[in-house]
Amino acid sequence: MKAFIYSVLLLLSVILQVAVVDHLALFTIIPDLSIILLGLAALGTNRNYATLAGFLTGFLRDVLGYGIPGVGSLLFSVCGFIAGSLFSKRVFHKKLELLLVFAVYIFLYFFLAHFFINFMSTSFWSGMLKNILPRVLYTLIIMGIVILFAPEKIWKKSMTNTFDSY
Amino acid sequence: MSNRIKKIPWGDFFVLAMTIIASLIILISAHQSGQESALYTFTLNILGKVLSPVAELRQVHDLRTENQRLHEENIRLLYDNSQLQNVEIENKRLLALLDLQQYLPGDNVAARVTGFEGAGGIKAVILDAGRDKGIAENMPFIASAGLAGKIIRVAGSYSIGQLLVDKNFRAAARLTESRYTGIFEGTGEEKPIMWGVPQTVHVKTGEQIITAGTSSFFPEGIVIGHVTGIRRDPNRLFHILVIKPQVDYSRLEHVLILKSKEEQQ
Repeated sequence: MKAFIYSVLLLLSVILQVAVVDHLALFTIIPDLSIILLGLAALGTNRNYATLAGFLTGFLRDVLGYGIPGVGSLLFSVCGFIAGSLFSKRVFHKKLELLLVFAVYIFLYFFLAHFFINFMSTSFWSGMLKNILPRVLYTLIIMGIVILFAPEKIWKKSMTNTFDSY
Repeated sequence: MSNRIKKIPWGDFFVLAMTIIASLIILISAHQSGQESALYTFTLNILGKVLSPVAELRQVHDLRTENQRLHEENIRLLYDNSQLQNVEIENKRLLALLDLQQYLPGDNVAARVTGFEGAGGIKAVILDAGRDKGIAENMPFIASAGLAGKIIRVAGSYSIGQLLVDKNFRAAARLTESRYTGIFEGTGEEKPIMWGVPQTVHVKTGEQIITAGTSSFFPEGIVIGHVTGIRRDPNRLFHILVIKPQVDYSRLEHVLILKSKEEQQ
């Protein structure tokens, strides 16, 4: 049931990302809702699910975007696996702790995304300062708001109730 | 001892490997064929249907924003348009004055009407030309249509002009057709009068009256107005002609002050 709900939410996040997120742009910097949802899905499920959900989310982003087909699914698969590794089977006692791990995860996503898509077209520091860090910060702020208002049981209990055990 | 060794999650790595391979297949096949696969087209068709209502909702928001922007732009353009119309009207008036000035003798001074006094039968305007431009009392001032009044008070940079409808305004006038002269007199109301034309003279309504040139203040031939009515009184020797001034003083904006020959000398 959890997997189904997260799948629907991920699909919704892809649609919102394509349809309305550009309204949230701050100086051309836009957040990424799909990566937030993927992290939350990993938090509530397990690594296998997060990897598969990442693949499908990336596939949908590829279909709706104008990038090279396959890059999105590859990127999101890897990020889903990372999210599963970071969040599954781990108990977070404080919201700040969860947010810090999310910061690492979101940074890894944008870092990989930038260099997956742009390859060597931009310099490292230019990409870092103009693209990666602002987007990480903006997405993290949205994630912070989500964590702030989310009921504690969603993020705390989910750690101990994963339906997959290794 | 064996319980201490953590079991490697091969299943997770297998799933990751499968997704990576699937991604690479998509990547390579798209690169080789040069076009998107049928799966992409199919997915896009489905997602497109899901996105349509969202896009429509978004369009409502965009339309509202666009409507507001156009509304604001409309107000701004209306304001700009009215400003341009004012400039055009002002330009026409100034051109008419300029045209008139070519036919007037001597050095004349253009002035802008900066104020208007209209209480209790007094009809006067404040002009932005004064002693510094050589303006003196009793100088007539005209608009493009004809005589507008005369200067009655002068300060450094401003002067007060008495309009021809003022109750104290007097000027020697002449009927253009019968050539009889009389006294044009303001009444403090909309319609001034002309008297001094004998009742034996046949006067037609619509006949134009001009300055007679018999006084030292007003040069001859400036249009004052035209006859709109004739009051006949058997006990009087003269006609009372009701005159409609040629100049609409309520819309007076620019005038030309005519310097007298003595002043110019």
